[in-house]
Amino acid sequence: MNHLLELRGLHKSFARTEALRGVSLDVQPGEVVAVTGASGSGKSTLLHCAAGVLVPEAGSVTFAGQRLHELDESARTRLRRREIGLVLQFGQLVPELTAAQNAALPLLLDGTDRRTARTAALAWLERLGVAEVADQVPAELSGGESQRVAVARALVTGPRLVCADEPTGALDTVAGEVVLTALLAAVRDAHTSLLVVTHDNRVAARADREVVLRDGSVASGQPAVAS
Amino acid sequence: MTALALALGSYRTGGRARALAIAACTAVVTGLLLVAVSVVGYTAVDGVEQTMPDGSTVFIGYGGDVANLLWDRGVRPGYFFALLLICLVPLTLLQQVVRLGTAARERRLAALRLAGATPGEVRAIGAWEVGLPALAGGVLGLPVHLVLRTLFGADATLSWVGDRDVARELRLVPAAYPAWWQVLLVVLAVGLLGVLVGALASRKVVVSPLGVSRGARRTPPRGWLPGLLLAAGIFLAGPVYLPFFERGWAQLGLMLGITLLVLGVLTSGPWVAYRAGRALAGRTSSPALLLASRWLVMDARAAGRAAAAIGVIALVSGAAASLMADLLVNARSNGHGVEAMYSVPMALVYAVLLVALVVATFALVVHGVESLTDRRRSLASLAAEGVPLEVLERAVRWEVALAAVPISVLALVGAGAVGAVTLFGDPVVLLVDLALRAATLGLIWLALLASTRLVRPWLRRAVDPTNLRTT
Amino acid sequence: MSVAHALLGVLAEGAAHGYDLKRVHDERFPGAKPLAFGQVYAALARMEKDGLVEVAETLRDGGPERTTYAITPLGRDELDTWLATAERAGPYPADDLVRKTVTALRLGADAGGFLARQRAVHLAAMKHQLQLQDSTTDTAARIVIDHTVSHLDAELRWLESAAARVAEAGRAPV
Repeated sequence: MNHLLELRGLHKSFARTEALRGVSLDVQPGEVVAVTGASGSGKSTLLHCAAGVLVPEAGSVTFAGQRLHELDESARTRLRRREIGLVLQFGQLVPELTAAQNAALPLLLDGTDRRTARTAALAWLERLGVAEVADQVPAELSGGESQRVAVARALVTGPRLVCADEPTGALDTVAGEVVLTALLAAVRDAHTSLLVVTHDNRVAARADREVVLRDGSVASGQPAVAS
Repeated sequence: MTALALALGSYRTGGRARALAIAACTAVVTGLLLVAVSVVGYTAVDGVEQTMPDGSTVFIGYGGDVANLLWDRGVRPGYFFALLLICLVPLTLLQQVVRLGTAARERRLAALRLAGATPGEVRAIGAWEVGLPALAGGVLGLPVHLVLRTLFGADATLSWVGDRDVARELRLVPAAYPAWWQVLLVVLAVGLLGVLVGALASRKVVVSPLGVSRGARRTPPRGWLPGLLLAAGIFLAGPVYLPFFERGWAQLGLMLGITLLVLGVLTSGPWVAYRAGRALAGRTSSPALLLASRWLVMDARAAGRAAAAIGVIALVSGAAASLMADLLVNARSNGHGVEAMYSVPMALVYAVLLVALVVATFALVVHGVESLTDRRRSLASLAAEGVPLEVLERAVRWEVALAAVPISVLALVGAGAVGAVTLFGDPVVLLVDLALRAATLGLIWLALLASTRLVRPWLRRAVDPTNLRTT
Repeated sequence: MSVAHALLGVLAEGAAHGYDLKRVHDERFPGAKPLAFGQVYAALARMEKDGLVEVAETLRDGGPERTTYAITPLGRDELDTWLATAERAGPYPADDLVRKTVTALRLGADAGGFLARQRAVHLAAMKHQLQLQDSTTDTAARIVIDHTVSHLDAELRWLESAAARVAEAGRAPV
């Protein structure tokens, strides 16, 4: 089977804790996979490794045939900003930039001219229902609006994979639902894969597949649905 | 060019004070460097004659009506070297000023990394943020040089100085301007320095887009590098040259020794602060002292660096005290007063030291403001739990005191140890020497008090209960 | 009695006959078991006897007889009293899920596997509810689904902590 993302035997430790102890996981093109588990089970570390933000000490991360863990920081970053969108729990927007500038940032960093980048960013903000706050800075946005801007930024380059770490974790149920619905509709439309770390059962229920982590290893996971 | 655009964007929001302070520091550095460059290019006339009213010419002395420091070929290299050392004053402030708004900047740069900026791009943004104001400061250094030249130029009238000899010794800046390419070189060098400092300041963020884990335990500063520098400095600056003092290489060695000593004190700041924190953390039952010493144990670098400037001031002041005592010994033995040739440079040294102490106080203030901003959450929760503001204020004062006082005492004693041997013969001079050292320590203590008094508004802001909700 | 009260709530917005009552009621509670006609008519008959509703008119245009019911002032009082009274919070009976989990844990027989299977079923049920919720724009209907989803969520959380406690007990010797 042709996997978009292939994680094999990942190990990663921090100061005194072993966050990942040999985790393997595949994500198919267009698949939505939820990673759940108690706090400290290694969910976020797994996501960061998958997105190429962290490099595991052992094991391999293969994204679209490229061995991510063997690339250097700059090469990984460049790949990430084109092919992998990232949504965190909160606070990932650049505080000095407006919502539209934040959403346009990955395109600008990739050398797109300002006008084109802004048009694309505005289109995404529109789709996610936050067009009216395009010229406001993050401090003026509500939590739900910030997260939708973050989703717009993650999707603006048309990535093949979006990695989301508790995207609704800091939001109440209703605001969380708005963000989640927008995120899912967007990735399903674009046939983008989504790897989402969550402790919100509502998020897990909407995924195609759930992978449960316990103490840094996969405790259980439904088999991949052939798509 | 995105990096440049983003760097420019940062001046709009909060980065303006930082940019202005950087430009001010680098302007002073540039002005001093331009003076130093013109000193190198200075060619003295050895014999100077004056035309008398009757038309005859009379030999009036060597070097003309300018400072001995300038015309005497023997001490000119030392003067040049001293000018470079004085550059350290604005440079140590620059080091602190670059820290202004660190928490917000690191958050912003980490957010940029997360959005897909490569380490190189983030480093470029950080470099531009300091490099551009530094370059602007370099250009502003031209008027600074002009002002120095107008006030202390070799052709200045100095009519406000009563004494003719003193006025002469104050004509310290050569009248000729440095060549255009020298000016260009200095300005570019200062700009480049800014770029380097900026790149260094953003290096922590470059590593991880997930942000700098603040408060995480860092490796403690180690003492071997400053120890090595100090040992080499003491060896090279020591009395080994006395027999060869007329030789050029001996002077060079002495300057190298002094440079190593200064670098040694500068780099040992964090280590001394860390040891002082370690020594007290387990032994004190005062909550303020416990807080202060644990702050130093967890991260002594920032406080240590700010305090190291004070250490250098103590070192120079200690050496000046020995020199002063030596001058007094000579003056007492030959019955004349101290000549202007010596007294004016000494007075200048003390003037520079006083300015340096004021600047160092501001460096401590900058450090205080930044660390209070970093710790606002924990400070706010301490205040919320009922810790009186006075205790927190005392902790802030203890932190800088623990960082600055031990290194200052060591520097003062160390600098005097060599000179003191010659002083035992004359109790009066010994007393003067000790008094000068004690006065230095007293002034340093005042500077510490002033700096903590100045950061009090920021402490009040840090304990505001709204900070309990910020992350 | 609460089905009757819900029907009273529908009638409070205007008179309706039995078929309309059932339809509106079922629309208000999507995802819940639809009312049987017999249930509706039994409730109406009882409420008429108690004086809570009255027959507004009886139509007969060729087809079967259609009786339209309207709420009485007494019925309105009853409805207001019902709305003003808070529902009791539990006690929740130990249902089959709890019985099975506790039994599995007591026996020590693959309790973890049971919990994982149960989680999959609950997640599937929740997914169904969420899809239902996505397909409707009616606020009241979405609120009703929220109730079901919240219960499923509570049970999922309970299953998670049960799984964690089982794992914890397995790790540390008692």
